[in-house]
Amino acid sequence: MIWWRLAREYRSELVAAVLLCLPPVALIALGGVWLWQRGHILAFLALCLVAAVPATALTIRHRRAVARAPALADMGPQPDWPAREREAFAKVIELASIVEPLAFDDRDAALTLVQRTLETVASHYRPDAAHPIAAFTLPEGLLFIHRVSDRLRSAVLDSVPFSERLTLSDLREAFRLTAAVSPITDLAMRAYNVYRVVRPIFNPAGAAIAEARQLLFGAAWDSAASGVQRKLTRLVVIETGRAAIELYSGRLRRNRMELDAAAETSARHGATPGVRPPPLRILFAGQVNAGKSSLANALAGEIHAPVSPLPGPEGFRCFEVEDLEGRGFVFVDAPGVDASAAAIAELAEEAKRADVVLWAVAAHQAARDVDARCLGAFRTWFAGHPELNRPPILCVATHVDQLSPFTEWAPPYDIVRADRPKSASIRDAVHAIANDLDVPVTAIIPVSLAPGREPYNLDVLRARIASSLPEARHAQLARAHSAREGIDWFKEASRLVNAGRSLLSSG
Amino acid sequence: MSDPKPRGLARWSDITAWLGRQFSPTADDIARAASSEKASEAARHAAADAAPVIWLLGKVQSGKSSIVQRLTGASEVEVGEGFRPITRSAAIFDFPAEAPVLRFLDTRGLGEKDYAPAEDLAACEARANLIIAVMRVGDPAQLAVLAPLREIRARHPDWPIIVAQTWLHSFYPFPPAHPTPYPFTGKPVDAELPGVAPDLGRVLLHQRRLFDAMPGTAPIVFVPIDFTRATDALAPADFGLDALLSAIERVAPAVVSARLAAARAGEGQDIGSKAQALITGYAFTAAAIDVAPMAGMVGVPILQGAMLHALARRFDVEFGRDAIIAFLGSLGTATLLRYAAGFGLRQLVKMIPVYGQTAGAVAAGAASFAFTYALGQAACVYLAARRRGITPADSEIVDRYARALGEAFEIFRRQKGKA
Repeated sequence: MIWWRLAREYRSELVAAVLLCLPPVALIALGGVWLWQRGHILAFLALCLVAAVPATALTIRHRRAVARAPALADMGPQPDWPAREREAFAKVIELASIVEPLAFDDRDAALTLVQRTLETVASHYRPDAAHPIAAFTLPEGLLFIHRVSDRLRSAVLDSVPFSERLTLSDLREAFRLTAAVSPITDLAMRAYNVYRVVRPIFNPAGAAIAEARQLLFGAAWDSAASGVQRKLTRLVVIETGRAAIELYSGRLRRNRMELDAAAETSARHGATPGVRPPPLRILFAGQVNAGKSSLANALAGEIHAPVSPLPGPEGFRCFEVEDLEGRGFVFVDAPGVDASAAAIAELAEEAKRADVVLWAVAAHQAARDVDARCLGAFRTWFAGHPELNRPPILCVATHVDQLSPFTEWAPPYDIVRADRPKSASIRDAVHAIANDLDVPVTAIIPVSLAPGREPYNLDVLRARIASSLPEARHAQLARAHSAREGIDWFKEASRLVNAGRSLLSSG
Repeated sequence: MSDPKPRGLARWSDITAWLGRQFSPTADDIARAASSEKASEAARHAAADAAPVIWLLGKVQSGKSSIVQRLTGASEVEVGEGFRPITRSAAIFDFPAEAPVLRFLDTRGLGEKDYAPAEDLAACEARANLIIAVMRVGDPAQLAVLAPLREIRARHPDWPIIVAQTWLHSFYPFPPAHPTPYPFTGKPVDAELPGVAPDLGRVLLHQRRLFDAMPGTAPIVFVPIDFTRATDALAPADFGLDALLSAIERVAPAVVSARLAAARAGEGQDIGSKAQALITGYAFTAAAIDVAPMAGMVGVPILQGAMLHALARRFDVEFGRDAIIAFLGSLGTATLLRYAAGFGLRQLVKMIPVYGQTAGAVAAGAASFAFTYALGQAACVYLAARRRGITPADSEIVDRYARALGEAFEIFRRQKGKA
């Protein structure tokens, strides 16, 4: 059917192509006659044979390489996916490695494969649902189709041989045609054939030579084609799975702009609204007088949080700052956490909203039970929410100037060599904190912000925050995905089932 | 003790002999106890049972150990190793270890989720106690200390609390220096003292306000202190120790303050200071077992023997059985000791200048206390001379013995008088 459509669509080009092809094709016959007359035909056949032997060897080697080819470059999970999504993706990869290569003219087999992929992902997300596959809304389903075709398009571009001869717009045009008559799966299955059909239209001379070549090396070509077939089948499963993960994890419920808005709302919780891209929310937490506010002020460069040796006012204070590169941040200065369960719960609640957690620990204060319990509550909560990425936690050992001997202050201190009593004290404190809070030693940055003196190690802390920003951004995105309104599943049920049914039956 | 048990009337003479030995120990009894590890152990138990407990409540690193160091003169290592666990969450430090004059209870679990002071309370509330709450000035999160304090005071409204406010130097401007002379009064005026960093004044007062709602009637005294290590190079290293001692003198039960003062009387002397605490420990124990004799347990001679043994160890002098008998002989012990616990008590006490005519009111324990104390002091003179390698003059020992008797009654009166 598609062939007729294509032929009709490009009738004049086809005629032109045939006309253009005639003289060179005639050249083959004429050349043959000439060879025959001059008695060189045997020599020519011998030459063909000599050329065919290394060519066959090369294609066989290439086919093996294709069969062994692990994956395309872009075969990993999305970097911002949390653990739950990564688990689902692992299942998809496993499925992709066990399925038989599709024959590209068998639509039922392809549809079954797609359905199998969808079921794998759906049951990962809704193991207890009767019809897990239908648990999405119609707009989500449409976006899903769009995602799969979008990703397959670029994947095919990467994997189909000689595709560098086609421009992107050529290929997109081809997909526009096929998308009109086929469901998503056909895109992949037909892609190779479409390529072969479309190719002569745009490069008739080259196509003629290629056709001739195919005549000569038919067997080798078939083997290369089966490599492509295997590759494309894998692609179909993985890309369908990837899109399905985004579908069932609810990521398609919002597009990127909506996500940014959600991230912004979440990040700016309690702060004044602005117009810049979503800032990162940094939570400054720790016990009373651990130096949270001093830290926030020092990083912000101006006084926002009241610094006082007495416990601060109730509640969390937020203020917006911008770094030298123009990145926006919301600093959240938490009240000092104490041993009460309510305070710990309140802080853990706020930590869930943060993109980076700066945990201030007074280096000269050995009572760290509260810190350990708070961080523990925080870790436990995220362990129970695999759909979220845990924001990076940086521990800041403050007040290191107060460590013994406190009458000495002559930075810099080399805490690796620890050749002075003070540097040894700092090293010991860092190790003690790492042990008490169950964090790696490298996650602890000793600083001193004693009034009237140059801040110590603040630049190191700044660099560490900067290097944790990608991770922070992933936490932010994962949180924005999950920050959706409650959905009335009963009310939506019929719509969901219908949407799923229509999506599947459209194939 | 190896005394025979009295059996029936036929052994009446044995009974009288036994009773006689109880009240007039011979040099031989003492010498025998001095060489017996069992006697030392029994003496240690008796002393520990009799010693009052100072209860230190504070978070980790708030400065509890350095308070124990400064009050007892023990080193950081001695204090660190001297604490023995007695409950799941509490450890006790005996000062001195051989015969505690005082015991320091350190509650370790403070600040942990499920700490309940009930077990620690049960472990030591039977005695007259003093609570020292130790709070670091830079650390306003004191819920972990205040909660058990409230519970304790609700049950014992008459127990005084001394609040040691530590780590003053964390609020000093750099380079740190103590305000001199010690300016703090424990009153609200501490917030506005000249020469004191304003922030320090504020945190001191803030911390005191945490005690506004503390139940109980006994006084709550605030003492800012800053005990630092020599390596910190912040002189004086025991800033506020005098204020802490005077606070203990003012509010602590007499049994605590008198024992502490007596044990610290030799402060500054090399071995003398430690010997002083030892002697005081044994002497108070002797007094205690005389007042409430513990059946079949320890007698005064056993304590005295254990004391001589412990002193000899402190002075690092060989003090064998023969040497002890010779030493006691030089004192004329037979006479003096018999006077001590027997009918001669009144006559003897009359000879003591300070005590004079009130001798009749002397409690039974006073004599045992005084003679144990004096014996220890005399032994110090003897052992110090032996340590220097010279033979001590009898007159010197007897002289010290007589003086020590006077001191002993004075110490004992102070303890009883205030109670």
